[in-house]
Amino acid sequence: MAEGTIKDKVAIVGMGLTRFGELWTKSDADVIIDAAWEAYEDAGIGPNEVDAAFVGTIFTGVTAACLAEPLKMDMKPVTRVENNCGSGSEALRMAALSIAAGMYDVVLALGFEKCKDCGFNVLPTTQPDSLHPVYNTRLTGPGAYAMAAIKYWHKYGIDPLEGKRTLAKIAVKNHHNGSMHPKAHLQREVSMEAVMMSPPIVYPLGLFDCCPTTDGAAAAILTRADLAKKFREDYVLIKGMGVAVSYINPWNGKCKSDVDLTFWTETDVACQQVKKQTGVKDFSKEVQMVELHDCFTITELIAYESLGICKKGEGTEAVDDGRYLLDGELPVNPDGGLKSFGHPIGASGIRMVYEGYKQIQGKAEKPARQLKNVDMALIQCQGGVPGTFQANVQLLGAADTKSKKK
Amino acid sequence: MAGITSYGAYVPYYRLSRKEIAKAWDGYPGDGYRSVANWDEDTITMAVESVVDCLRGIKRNTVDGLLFATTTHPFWEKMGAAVIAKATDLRNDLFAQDCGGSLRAGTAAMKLALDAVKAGSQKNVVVVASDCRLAPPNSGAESDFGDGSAAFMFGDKNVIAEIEGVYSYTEEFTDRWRRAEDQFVKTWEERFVNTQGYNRLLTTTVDNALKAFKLKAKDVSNLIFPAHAKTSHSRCQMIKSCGFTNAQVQDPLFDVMGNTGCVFPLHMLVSALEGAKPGDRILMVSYADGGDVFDIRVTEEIASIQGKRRGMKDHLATTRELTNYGRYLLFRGLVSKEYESPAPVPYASLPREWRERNSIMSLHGSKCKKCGAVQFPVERVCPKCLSKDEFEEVNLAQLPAVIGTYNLDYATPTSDPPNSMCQVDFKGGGRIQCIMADRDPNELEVGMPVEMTFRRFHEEKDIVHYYWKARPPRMPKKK
Repeated sequence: MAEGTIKDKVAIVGMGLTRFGELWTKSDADVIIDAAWEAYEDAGIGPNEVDAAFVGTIFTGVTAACLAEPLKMDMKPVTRVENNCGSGSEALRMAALSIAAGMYDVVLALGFEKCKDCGFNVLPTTQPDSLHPVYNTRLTGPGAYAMAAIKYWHKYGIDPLEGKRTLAKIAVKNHHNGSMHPKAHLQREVSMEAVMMSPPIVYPLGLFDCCPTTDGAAAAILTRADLAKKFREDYVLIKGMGVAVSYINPWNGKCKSDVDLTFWTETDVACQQVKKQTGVKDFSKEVQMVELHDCFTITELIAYESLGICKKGEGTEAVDDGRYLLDGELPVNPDGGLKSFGHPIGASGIRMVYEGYKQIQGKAEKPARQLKNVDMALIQCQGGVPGTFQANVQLLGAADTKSKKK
Repeated sequence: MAGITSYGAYVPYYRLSRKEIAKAWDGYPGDGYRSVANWDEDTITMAVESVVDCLRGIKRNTVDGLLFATTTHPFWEKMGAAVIAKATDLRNDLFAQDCGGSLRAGTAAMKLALDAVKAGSQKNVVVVASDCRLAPPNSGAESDFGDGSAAFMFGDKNVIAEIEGVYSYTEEFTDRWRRAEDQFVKTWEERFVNTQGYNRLLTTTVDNALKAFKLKAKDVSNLIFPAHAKTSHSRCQMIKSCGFTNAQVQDPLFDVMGNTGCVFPLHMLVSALEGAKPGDRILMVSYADGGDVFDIRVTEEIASIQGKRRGMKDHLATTRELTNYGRYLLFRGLVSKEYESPAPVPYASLPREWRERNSIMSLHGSKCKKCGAVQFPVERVCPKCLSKDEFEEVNLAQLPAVIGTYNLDYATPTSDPPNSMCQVDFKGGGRIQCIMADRDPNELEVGMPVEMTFRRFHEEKDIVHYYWKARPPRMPKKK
């Protein structure tokens, strides 16, 4: 089996991100246009300099026309990709692979979603099997992850109240980080008391354990690494890209008997792919920031362990130590994560890359947010529920790491 | 001699106190409780429960007849017995039919089953009666009615109770009725109904029956006698005028269940058999436009079944109180659920449901013939060894199981909140993720035993979809 590497072949030279939130006054087309034009301007290109485009969306847009139409990309190779909550990550991956294959020089990857227009406060189901007459078990996102929390506490003998407290600390951290990001959906701090006392959504997860339902779009302009300097000095290189998909669909009552709800195996597998591509041995030592998928606080806790930035069962201790705070030894979700940004599905994977891109460039929106010396950023975007995950892990590096690390 | 070879019963988990009903209407508070079917139960799903109970330890493929009796059939047209047979994994070469339209439907189905066995046309016939009648809100009947089901198997081997005689008396009398288009049971005023109907007709029926059976009242150990209400003066009069004493009378269970319609005499018969001794003689009487009377003699074989069925005892010992009358209205669909957000509902495809009927209706999973891995639903490729089309179907519905993990969902709309979801790990392998029913949210924990229960899952495009949920076993906790 061929095992290639994407390392240092593709660069990100421009990015755009809309304000995330309840964008009642903006249409699908509006957020797409806003994100795309910001990316064009950031890359210093005009709209007709894009050779090809990949758009990630799970339910807002169907066919490539959902992107081509608002951006007026007539007669261009435009493709819609979908891979659950990683639809944006996959748009970026397809864009990078198409460049690495030598097909195009400048490619747009854009992810978007308008979640608020559908009339209910949860995400609509679009799993391939969601049309089944009965297997659809009324499982919700929080419902699936709540079961993981119960199992995690059971496995590690954690008292539920203590377990809730650990999760609350994660929410408090991400709210704090998000309070400083002008594009976040929720730009405010929350107290431990507020999180602990928040109304139950799905026990044991309360309101503040869940990310909000949000509209938004994010875009990236990618090019060949050897062309990147023409666009800017501080381009960001793609170091590695891993993806793993599992197939049993608990949304439909199906369950693989050996799925471990206390570890995101798909993320681990995707990490191993990235490590193989890049030669990186230990993320916790070699990256300076992590953006990970925190649709719920328990998702983040288990992601620490699955990414290998802490050991299995060590998540609680790491949270108590403040290891992943903005000023901790390895900041996690410095932009506030899904907790603050919300989760416009198709946009999230590229929104995470946006934060890595800005931090590496030293261009975080506010000085208080800027991390010191970010050379490499680890991005993890995960979708679905345990048993039917898609996990995308991507490693970004500063332009000069190429010469330094070689 | 032909007779009853097994019994089973089911009383729903929830019960509503008569005090709570009285509170809703500022009425006179009565004693005790009535049973209330959960929002996802109907007479078909309740019947499945009783058939499962009745067939414990009995090979399902020995059953060659199934009669389903109810006055509250979920369908005007569609065979309930066929649904019950599929859910309980009965064989397809089966004589099956539904009986209804009268509160004598339960005892009538028993007579038909008995006669079929006697005639030799069937060997083992299961009769299941199930009712969930709606009384007009703020009526006495609302407190007096109960929901539930009961089942008996008839055969001529290992008979636990011989039927020594059946006597029927039929004379048209309108006291209670529901027109085809009515939702609620209607009734004429009590004096006429009791003096000219209940008293006169039942006295005649029982007198005639005793003569036909060549029995005296004193020969009877247990008298199973129907009644419309708990405090029925005419019932006491009746018992006396037929020559019986109160000591002979089987408890009509009004304190814990209520009048369960066409199941009522069958429920009392299960109760009687649970405490019966060999040689006991039970007289079972049903009432509607006359009545059916059964002369039942308990045999030595009764010991082989007693204690091996949940019957009335276990079900009545494992109940939970509905906290208020509003929940009852919601369960019976008497108030609107329009508060629910317009979440998408699964697409109703009958071909798809039909293709997957073994998994959906009978809860079959597949077991790999190569490596033994069990998965649900039935799937063609083994997740472990990837062998294709090398599997046998296994019935997961009756396997012991435990909760792998669970949640309590306060956001998903349901008439019985919170919506509890769990992963169920079956003994011998296989896992399913499903909704929980009939549970105390405070008692759930990882590793606790659960069993599967057949429920009315949802309706879409006027199609009723049945499927399985998990619940804690309806057995009293061992002390």
